[in-house]
Amino acid sequence: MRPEQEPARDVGNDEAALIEAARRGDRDAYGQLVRRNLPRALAVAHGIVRNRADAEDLAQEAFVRAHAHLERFRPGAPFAPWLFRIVTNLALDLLKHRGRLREEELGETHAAPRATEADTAAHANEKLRRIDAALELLPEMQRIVARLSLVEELEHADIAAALDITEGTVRSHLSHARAALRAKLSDLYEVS
Amino acid sequence: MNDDEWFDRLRNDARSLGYALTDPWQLDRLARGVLERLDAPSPSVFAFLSAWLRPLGVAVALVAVLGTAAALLALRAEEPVAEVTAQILMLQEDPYGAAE
Repeated sequence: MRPEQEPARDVGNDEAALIEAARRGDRDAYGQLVRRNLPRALAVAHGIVRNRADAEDLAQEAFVRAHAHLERFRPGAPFAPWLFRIVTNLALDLLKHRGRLREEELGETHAAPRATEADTAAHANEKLRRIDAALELLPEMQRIVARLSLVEELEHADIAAALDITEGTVRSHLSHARAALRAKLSDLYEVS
Repeated sequence: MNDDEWFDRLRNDARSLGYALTDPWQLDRLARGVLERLDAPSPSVFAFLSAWLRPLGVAVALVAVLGTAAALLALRAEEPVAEVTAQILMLQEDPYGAAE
């Protein structure tokens, strides 16, 4: 069951009113903002950290931080891009922290890389395992864009907002990722 | 199979690696979790300070107890020496026991 991704771009004045009410301390108004944007916030976080529990923690933390800084929010601006950037920054910080820990572990014990849930799920299915491995081999930005687009099914506008890049840059990364994936997985859907 | 068809099939398979809800109420639970965190009282200045000072107080008390115990042990260890020293001094003052 995938979370339904409610389009946030058609809420317009309604969203502005909710943000204004939330700024004045209306918890219900903020609750509505949370429910509207949570599915895509979860998808952004999961696309970067590839772990369900971490994605849920990060998405919740992003909403808490966004609420704490609502007074800095520019009136009339859309809420989702701002929120997605908070999610992305938290997720990238977590990955950096994990990377440092893993380097320390490897330095001390030569530990095997930590398995993610995606690894586990992928092992159950050879095709998924190959797709997951091919995605992991992409350069960082291509990998994140490809995961957010292909795996989490986010729209280009949301990906651009989350990564603070233009939609053109998203399309460019995706095009390179497509070519690399096609080369790596050329035999995946060949008719035998 | 052209490039778009191939990519559509890849997209179809790749989506099962994405985030999926385990049940229909999960979004509600997560949203409620956010609001509960917002409603949680932030710690007061007193609570914040006491949280920092409590371990410090325990450490100071521990040092005081250990210091007292060490001083007592040192005094007890010195007592026989002091007694012997006093006896020697008394003997030196009265080497023939004339005082008895």
